[in-house]
Amino acid sequence: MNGSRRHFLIGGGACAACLPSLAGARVLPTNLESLVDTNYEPLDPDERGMWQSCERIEEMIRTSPQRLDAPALQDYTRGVVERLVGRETPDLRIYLMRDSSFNASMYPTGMMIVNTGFMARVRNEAQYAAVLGHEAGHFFRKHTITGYRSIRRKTSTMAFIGAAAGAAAGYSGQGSWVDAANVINQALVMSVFQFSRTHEAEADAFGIMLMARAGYSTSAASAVWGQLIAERMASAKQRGAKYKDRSESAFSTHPPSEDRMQDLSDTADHLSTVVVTNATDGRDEWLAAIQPHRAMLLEEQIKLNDPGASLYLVESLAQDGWTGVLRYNEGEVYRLRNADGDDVKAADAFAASTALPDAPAEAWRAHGFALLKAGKTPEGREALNRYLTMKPDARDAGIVRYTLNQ
Amino acid sequence: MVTRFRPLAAVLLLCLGGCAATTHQASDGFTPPSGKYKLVVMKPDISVSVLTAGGLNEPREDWTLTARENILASLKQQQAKRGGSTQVVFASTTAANDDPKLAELDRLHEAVGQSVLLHKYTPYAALPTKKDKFDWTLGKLATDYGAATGNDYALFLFARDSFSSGGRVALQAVGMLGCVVGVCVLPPGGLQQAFVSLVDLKSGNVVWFNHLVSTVGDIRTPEGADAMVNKLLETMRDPDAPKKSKKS
Amino acid sequence: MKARILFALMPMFLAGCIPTYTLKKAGPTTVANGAFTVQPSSAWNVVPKDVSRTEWEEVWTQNGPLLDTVAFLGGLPEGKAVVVQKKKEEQRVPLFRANMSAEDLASMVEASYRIRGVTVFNVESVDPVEFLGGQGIRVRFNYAPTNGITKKGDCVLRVIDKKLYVMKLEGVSSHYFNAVVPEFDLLVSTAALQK
Repeated sequence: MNGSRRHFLIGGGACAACLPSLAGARVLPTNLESLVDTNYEPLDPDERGMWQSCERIEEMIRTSPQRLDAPALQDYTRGVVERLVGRETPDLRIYLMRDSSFNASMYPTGMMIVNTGFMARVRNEAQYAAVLGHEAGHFFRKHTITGYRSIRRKTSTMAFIGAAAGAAAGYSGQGSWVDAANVINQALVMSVFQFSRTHEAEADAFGIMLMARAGYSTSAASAVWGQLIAERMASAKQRGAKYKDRSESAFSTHPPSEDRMQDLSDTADHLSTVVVTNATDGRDEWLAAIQPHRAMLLEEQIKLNDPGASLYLVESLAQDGWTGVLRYNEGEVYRLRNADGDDVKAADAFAASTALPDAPAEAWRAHGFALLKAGKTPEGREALNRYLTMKPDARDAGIVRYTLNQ
Repeated sequence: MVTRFRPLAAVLLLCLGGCAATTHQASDGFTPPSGKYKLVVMKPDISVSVLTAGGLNEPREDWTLTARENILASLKQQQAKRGGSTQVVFASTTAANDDPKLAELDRLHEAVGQSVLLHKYTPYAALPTKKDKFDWTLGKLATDYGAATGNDYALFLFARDSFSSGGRVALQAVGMLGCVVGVCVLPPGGLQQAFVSLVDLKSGNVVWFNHLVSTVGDIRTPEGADAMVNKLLETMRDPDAPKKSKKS
Repeated sequence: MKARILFALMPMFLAGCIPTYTLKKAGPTTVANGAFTVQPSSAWNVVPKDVSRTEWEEVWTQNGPLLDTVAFLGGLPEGKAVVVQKKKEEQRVPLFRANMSAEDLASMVEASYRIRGVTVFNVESVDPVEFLGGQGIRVRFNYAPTNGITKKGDCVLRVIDKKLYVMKLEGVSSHYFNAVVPEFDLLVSTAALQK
C-alpha cells in the first residue's frame, strides 16, 4: 500500500469486513429523502470531531499540487450536481483532483472530490451524473455518520489497519507528518469511509432516483460499472491474468461488483417504468466540457503502462472515429508495452496520427523516433524537424536537436 | 550543540508505570529566543480524542477546542515571561483565507519534521553525517516568510492527547512494529504525545525540536496544558542544562 | 501487558536484522556493486535497501530520503526493470532495452513514478550530457507525490555495452533539491566506469 494520503481521497469503498452480505436486497428509491439541507451543522460530539478532521483534510486538498485548475469544468460539474439534487449547492465544495484512479468521493462536511481518472473513463453526462449522484447520496443520507457509529461498536479491525498503515508509511517513507504521527486518526478516517453494503445500495438507489428526476437515462449507472469491469478484464487478459472482482478488498479503489451492477440495473428498470420520458445521456454536453482536457486525461492513463486497460480506453473513444490524438495515444501504448512486434504497431499508429489534421506535435516526435529505429533515417529526421518547427520551445528540444546533429 | 538520542521505544518501556519523557534536539550554538522577539505559532495541530473499546480514536471537538485554547494560552504566557510576543496563525478554513506560500512552508516543515522524527528519534534510522549535529533547515521559504511578516521565530506544534474508555493491549504491540521499520508511532493507550519545532526565521533553520511522550497529564485543563508546554519548552531556556528525563 | 510489549520489542533487540544508514566518507569511492566510481567532496549517508530497489542500485542521502536522495544504478542488463514490482501489479515500468531511444528512456524514468501513484509529473528538459566518458541523456523533472510535498529530479542515463547506467538526484523542491545540485554535478562529472 503506497501513499497513505492517497486513501484520504478515496471514499465510499465497500467494506466487506463490516457487515454481512446484503446481496439480493434492493432498496426502492422512491421513498428516500435528503437528510441534509444547506445550513446543516453537526450537533453531536461524534460528528463535530470528525468535521474538524475533515476540515484539515480539506485545507490540504485546497492547497494540494494535485488540484486541477479548470474553472469551466468545475462549473460544469457543479451544474450537474445541482441538476441532480434539485437545488443550488452553496454548501458543497467541489474539488477536481489530478489522480489517475477511478474515484469520486464525498465527505460529510460537504466536500466533493472528483478524480481525473474518473473523468477519463466516463462517456457522457449521464454517466458522470450517475457517480456524482451516488456520492451525493452518501452525503444527503448522512451515511458517513451512521456507518461510523456502527463500526464503533465492532472490534478493533480498523485500528489494526491503522497501526499497520503506520508501519507501511514508515517503510516506504511516503507518508506525511500528519499521517505518521496520526495513524489512529487515519484509521478513523478510513473506517469512516468504509461504507457498508446497505449504504452502497442506498446510495445507488438514491443516485438513480436523482438521475431519473433530473431527466438522465438511468441505464447510465450500470453502464459505468460495466465499462470499468470490461476495462479491468482487458487489463487482466493482456497480462495473462484472471480478472477478480476486488470489491472485497478494503483498500480497493471503489470497484464495482456484479451484484451491485445487477441491483443498479434492476432499480433502473423499475424506475423507467415509473418516471422517465425523454431521458438524455447528455453526450454532446459532456464531450464539449471535457474536450480541452482530453489529451491530459488520456496521457495520465496511457503513461501507466497497463496496455490492456489503455487500449480499451483508446478503442472505446475511437468508436466515434479515430483522431490524431487517439492514434498518437494508441502508438504510445505499443511503444511503452514494447512486446515483440510492438515497434511496428507503434510506428504504424504514429504514422496514422501524423496523417490526421489534429495530430499533436508529440506525434511527430514519436513518428520521427520510430522511423529512426526502423532505419528510415531521412524520413525520421524530417519528422523530428517537423516536431521542432511545431514546438520550438519543446522541453526535449535539446535531445531532439542533438539527435538530428548525429 | 548537545544532542541526545534516546530510542523512543525504550523510553516507553520505562514509562509503563506512568511517566513523562522528553528528548530534545538543538542546533549548534543554539541560544533560546531572548529580548523582545516575535513568535508565530504555525497552524497548531492539537487534537484530543476518546479511545474506544473498539480501538478507535475519536476526536472530540469540544475537548480539542479546550485543549487548543489552553495550550496556546500557556504558550503565550510562557513566551511573554521570556520577552516574546506570540501570535497564532490558524489553519485556513476557507479558500479566501488560503495562503499558498504558507501552505508550502507548512508542507515543507512536514517533510522536515518527519525526517527529524525518523532520523533522530527512531532506532536504527540515525544518519551518520548528523551524528552530533542537528542541522535541518526550511531555507528561503522560511526566511522570506519572516521578512514578509516581521516574525523572528516560527513554532510548529503538534499535540495529541487521548483518554481511553477501555483497555487496549494487543494494539500496542502492533504499534511498536512501526518503531522497528522507522516510524515510531505510539498507539495511544491514553497517551499524550507532542512535538514542537522552533524555526529561526532569520536563518530558516530548525534550531530546536522536542518530543514528548506521557502517560499522565490532561491538556484539557489549564494546569495540564501548562505542564505540557513547560515540559516541551523548558529546556529551551537553558541549552547547557543537563538533559533530564523526568519520571513522575 | 508489559510482557506482551517486551515480546513485540524483541525483534528490535536482535540487532543485525535491521538495516541501518552507513557513512560514506568524501573521496573516490565505488558505487552500485563496483559498477563505477565517483568522487564526492563531502560525506554522505548510504540508505539501507528496501524491497522496491533492484540489486544494481545504491542510494545516498544528505538530510534523509524524505528530503533528498542520490541514486546510482550500475549495469542494469537488458530486459530488466529499474524498479522491483510484484507480479500482480497492473501498471508496469517498461523494461530496459538497449535500443531505447532518448524518448523511451525518458518515458521509462517517468513511468517509474507514475506506477507508484504519481499523477502530476512534468518533464522540464531532456538534453544530451557527458556521462561516464560518453554521451548520455539528462532528464530534468518535477512531480507531486501523494503527500503533496513537491519534488524535483535530475536523472542522467547512458547505455554502455547494452547495459544501463544511471545517476539520479531527487529532492524537495523547496531548498533541498537545489542544495544538493552542486555536489550531484560533481558526482556526475567525476563518474568513471570501473574496468
